Amino acid sequence: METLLSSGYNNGNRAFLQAIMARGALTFDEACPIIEAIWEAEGREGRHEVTEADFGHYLSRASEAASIYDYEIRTTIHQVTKERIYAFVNTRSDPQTQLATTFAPDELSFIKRLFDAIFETYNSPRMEIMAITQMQAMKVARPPNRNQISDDALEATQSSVDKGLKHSEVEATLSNLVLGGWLERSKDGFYSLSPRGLLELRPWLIETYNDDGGDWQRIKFCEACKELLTVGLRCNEPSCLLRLHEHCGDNFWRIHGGQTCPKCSTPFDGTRYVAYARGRRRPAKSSQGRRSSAMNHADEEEEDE
Amino acid sequence: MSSTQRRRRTRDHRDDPEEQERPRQRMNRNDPGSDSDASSQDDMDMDAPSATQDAEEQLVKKLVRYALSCEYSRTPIKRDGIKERVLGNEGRSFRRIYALAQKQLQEVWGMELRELPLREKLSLHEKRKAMSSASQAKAGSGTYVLSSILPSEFRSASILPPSKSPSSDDEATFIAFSTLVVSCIWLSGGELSDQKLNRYLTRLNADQNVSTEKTEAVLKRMEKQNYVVKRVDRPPVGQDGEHSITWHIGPRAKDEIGLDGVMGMTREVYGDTEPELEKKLRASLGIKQSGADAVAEEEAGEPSTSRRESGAVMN
Repeated sequence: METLLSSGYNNGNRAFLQAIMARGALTFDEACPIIEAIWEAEGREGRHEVTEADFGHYLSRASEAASIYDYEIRTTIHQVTKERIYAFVNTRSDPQTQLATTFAPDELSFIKRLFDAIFETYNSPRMEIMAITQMQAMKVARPPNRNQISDDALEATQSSVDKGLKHSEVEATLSNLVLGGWLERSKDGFYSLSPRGLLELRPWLIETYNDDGGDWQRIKFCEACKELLTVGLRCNEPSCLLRLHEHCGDNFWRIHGGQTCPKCSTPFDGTRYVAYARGRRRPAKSSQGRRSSAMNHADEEEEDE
Repeated sequence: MSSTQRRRRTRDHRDDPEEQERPRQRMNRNDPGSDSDASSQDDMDMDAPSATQDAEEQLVKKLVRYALSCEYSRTPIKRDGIKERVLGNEGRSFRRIYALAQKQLQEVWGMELRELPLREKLSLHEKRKAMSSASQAKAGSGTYVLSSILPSEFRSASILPPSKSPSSDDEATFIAFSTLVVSCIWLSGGELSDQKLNRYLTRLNADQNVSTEKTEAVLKRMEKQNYVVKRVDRPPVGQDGEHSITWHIGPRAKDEIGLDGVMGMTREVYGDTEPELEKKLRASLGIKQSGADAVAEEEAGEPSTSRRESGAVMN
């Protein structure tokens, strides 16, 4: 900390730190007005356009300061917009920071069920959606097997029954998650984790969903950039774990040469998608097919119930 | 040179499991440009106190994290909470850890913890009770809020937006509404009956809903977060009569919004700052000094001005 302070750490840096913490995540474009405002506040003479270097300077100082307290500024590329995002992330979960939520306990347990749905129910080897529609979210509004539980252990649960959320509350919680920067909603109404959410929850997600011990893992990573992948391309072989971001693809094939999957040697033609039909690209037949299969899948489930 | 030092130290401590974290921390400190610092660190490493030093540092870090996360959801930061969640068995070192954490909050984060004033004794009964046990009067309330100490230029909405808790729109609405209610109470001499408050809110079309929330729920939250105090007076036992409800200013509002927040809000609502308005404003708020303009100016520039000011003025 002494080093930090002795090297010209000033109010501008403090303001930037507060700014990124309040926003949770920033892109360069979003940061420019902030830095301009900071310069104005400092009364700096002869100002110029904010450059990447200026932004980098503020980021590194903020990161340095935050790291003392087990916070970190991590960066990733938005899987859909391809913008670089810098997120303020808490790197340690401890009793001191578990208070940092504005969600009520029953909302939190709904959010857990929502993640289960995103990463388990709607993320099978055959159909990797990793997103959820509002209708599907309604299905997890209440904890499963409620009747059974209340029969079996009526007295034990009476004190803390999780009644689940009403449908209107599900809507409100979803929109709060979007506004709070945890989820993103696509044009077609699919909710998926935002880059900031992925960065912050990465360790938790891996621990929670990839711990089956088998060869299959629910959370996959881009073969090229090793980041967590929820939107992108997948190997033509459904059981293969190779995934690639669309923006990572070109470089990857240039280095590897040829278009066969390095894991299972299946020819790779880039027509299989993770998270189908997000309102951007669905030219190929396959995505149409996937769409209808998703419908069927949902129908089947309803019949099951 | 510093790199060899580091290597040596790392070796020294390798066997000691408790020291596992230390090499990493020192690496941060040993950046070029802190050579003088490094030598003093070296001396400390030789002595036993270094262990307590580290433990202390951990506690300070924990306290900073605790304060930051409490403030995010406006959970009151209480002395007891700090003792329970941060200090654990080290409860007695509160004062020292608090001072160190305060220093780091100020220097690194540009924030500070401020102790809220004690809740005022509202009813006659309470006042009497306080009089009789005056000797036991506590110095502080033991409740803290974290607020920014950056100069007001750095606190414009373009740098610091309403935080996303849960969303910045909701937060802005809440800030605006709570500032409004507190201003109404303050301008009415610090006490407002429930009927009157309702009348004001009806006039603003806010008696049922504030944005998408029920007014009642928002007021309840304001009460919980210490912005307002709701006092219910029951008629004496055996007598008929209605409960009378009055609203008072909560300790948090006094600190966060403050007199200047209320004045700023009022000026913004009335638009032009005519001398007449200033006079009325001072009369309503009970500011006697005739040269109050100067005072107000001074206060507005002070770091103690709350971070909510921008929100109040915006709306």
